[in-house]
Amino acid sequence: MNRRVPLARRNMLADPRRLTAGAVTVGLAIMLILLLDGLWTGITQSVTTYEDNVGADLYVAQPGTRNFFGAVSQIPRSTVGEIRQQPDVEWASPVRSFLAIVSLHDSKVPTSVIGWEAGQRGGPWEIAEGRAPEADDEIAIGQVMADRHELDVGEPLDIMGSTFRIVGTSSDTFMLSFVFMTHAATDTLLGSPDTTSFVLVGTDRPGAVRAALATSGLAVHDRDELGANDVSVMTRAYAVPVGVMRGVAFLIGITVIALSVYTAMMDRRREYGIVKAMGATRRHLLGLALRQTLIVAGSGFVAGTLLFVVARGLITSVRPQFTVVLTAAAVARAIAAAVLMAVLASLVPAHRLARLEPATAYRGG
Amino acid sequence: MNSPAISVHHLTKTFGEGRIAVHAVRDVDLDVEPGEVVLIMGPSGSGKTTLLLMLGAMLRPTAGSIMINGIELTSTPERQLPALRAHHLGFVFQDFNLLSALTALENVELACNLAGTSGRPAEDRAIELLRHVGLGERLHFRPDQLSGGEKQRVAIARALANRPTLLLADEPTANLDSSHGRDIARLLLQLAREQRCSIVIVSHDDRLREIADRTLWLADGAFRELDTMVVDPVCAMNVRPGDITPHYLYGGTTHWFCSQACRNDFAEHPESYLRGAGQAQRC
Ligand SMILES: Nc1ncnc2c1ncn2[C@@H]1O[C@H](COP(=O)(O)OP(=O)(O)OP(=O)(O)O)[C@@H](O)[C@H]1O
Ligand SMILES: [Mg+2]
Repeated sequence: MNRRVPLARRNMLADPRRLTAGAVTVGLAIMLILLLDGLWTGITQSVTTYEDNVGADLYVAQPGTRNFFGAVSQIPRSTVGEIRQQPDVEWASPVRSFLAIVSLHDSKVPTSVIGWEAGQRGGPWEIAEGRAPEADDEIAIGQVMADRHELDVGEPLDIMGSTFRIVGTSSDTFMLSFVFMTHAATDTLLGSPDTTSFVLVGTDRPGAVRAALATSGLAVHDRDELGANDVSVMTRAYAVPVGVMRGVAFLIGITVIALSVYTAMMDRRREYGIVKAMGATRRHLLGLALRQTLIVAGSGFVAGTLLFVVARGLITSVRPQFTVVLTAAAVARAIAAAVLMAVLASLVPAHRLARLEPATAYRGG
Repeated sequence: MNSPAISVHHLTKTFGEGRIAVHAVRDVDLDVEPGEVVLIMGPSGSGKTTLLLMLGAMLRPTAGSIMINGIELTSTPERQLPALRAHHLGFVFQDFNLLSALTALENVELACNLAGTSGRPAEDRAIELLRHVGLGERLHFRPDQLSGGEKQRVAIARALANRPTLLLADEPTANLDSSHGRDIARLLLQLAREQRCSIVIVSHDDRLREIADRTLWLADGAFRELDTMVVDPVCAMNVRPGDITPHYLYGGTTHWFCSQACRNDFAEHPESYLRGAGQAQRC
């Protein structure tokens, strides 16, 4: 690669104020894209936190059930025993899951109540403070919920008309406040003994177990299916606004890049006329336009990453329950967005350059 | 190699149509030999720039033909014209027209790049040319750090970077004072001889006649015989005597002027103009 005169870079650097203004504005758009991506990843991770941590390979439920959260599944308790009979099943345990609104002194909090059998799978995977519930009037609640509503271990909490005592806090997320209790306690709360919502199954051969359970008519999902369904139900409300915000950030990025390169070019219209008079081809001019938009987009990406780090710091200090997750894929997507912005933004100045008369070099104007 | 560097036949350019048509260039013939310096003079609006733009492959003629290095410009597709300019033509403009964000060196190097040379060879060529025009010490200066005369030297180095067959210059000395204008004129001539490049200069500047092998007079878009021209004693421009040309009878001779203003100035102090004839550069 032989060095050529870096006209695009020189022209953009010749006006550092314009370049900085462009980079900061594009940076804000990139920051928004990174933040939305990070929040989205945080949301989806927190929605599937139960499936991610509980360690079950399959979830068996009432026919037609597609979700773990918000599902209304009721199956006979005896199903657990039948499933344990299957040759490839390592373990199976009953888990009750339903949503309940808990009235606290300051607000009503939607919670996800989970009932499980002591000594079996399906309960809290991590206790932050205190211990897991053992008696039927004991509960462990999510830590985020406990912090947010100033609930302490040892305090009573009313759930669906019954009073429970908080004996511990477990890990949870801002999307879901968990309340763990014994399976028997949920039987009483719902008034339906001898039933459960799900049977969690551990197996090395999920395919075989699925096939064996096919005749029963029960719904059988693996972790990924259930997680995906939960994400799509829980985030449906956000998908459109987040998509719109992303799109707007992207369009703002394109517009700002196009404008800053276009105005920089118009300020030097005559000079570009000279470059054309000197024999620059269409391809040269396209390259010139693209290099300039890439310079703005590149500086914008750097500015955007810095702004993102600052914004994420602010968000986590003001609202610690929000997790903004920066993944390599998100960075790659932001880079791709910046490059795409640059390419699309270059069309306008490139078109203008193509129409510029080389004769302007002689005639002025 | 006795074929002309550029050969123009029946070249015509008409802007607009019908009643608003402007016949900027009419049926012009011109052959320029390799290494020859041709000066084209003429009053404002006579079609000089229009002619130069057509020779420079930047404006399509209405009719006629232009042959450069055996290539017929008028039948060359639009797409191929940039490459033709980059390889065969050099341009010098009235207001220098350097690229303001680039150094002197880069301005010249860019012309090499466009002509297909890059990296070290381009840089070497640019340095050599800039040394040649006396700017070896100013390689890394940007145009705003150079004087007018220095800028025009950079522009000349740039115009020669691609070893053009033909260099086209529009009013190259108009923005320079007379001593710098003369320097630039001599430099152009010297370089044309060395590089064996033909030059067509368009100008009002009578001093350029010193370096021209041939001077042509363009009026109303067509060449006229220069020996029918006389010099305006006030501003030293060439003027063609005619019924409507301002004139003034003094000391038994009719003196001709480019404009009424020059005639009036002359009428006030005829002796002072006749003593130092043609010194004032005003028009
Ligand atoms: N694009 C155009 N459209 C219409 N008329 C034009 C155009 N360009 C030039 N003309 C006309 O053509 C004539 C010749 O113009 P040109 O610029 O070639 O003159 P010139 O000899 O270079 O003048 P000057 O010495 O003032 O630079 C003028 O009457 C001008 O108004
Ligand atoms: Mg002109």
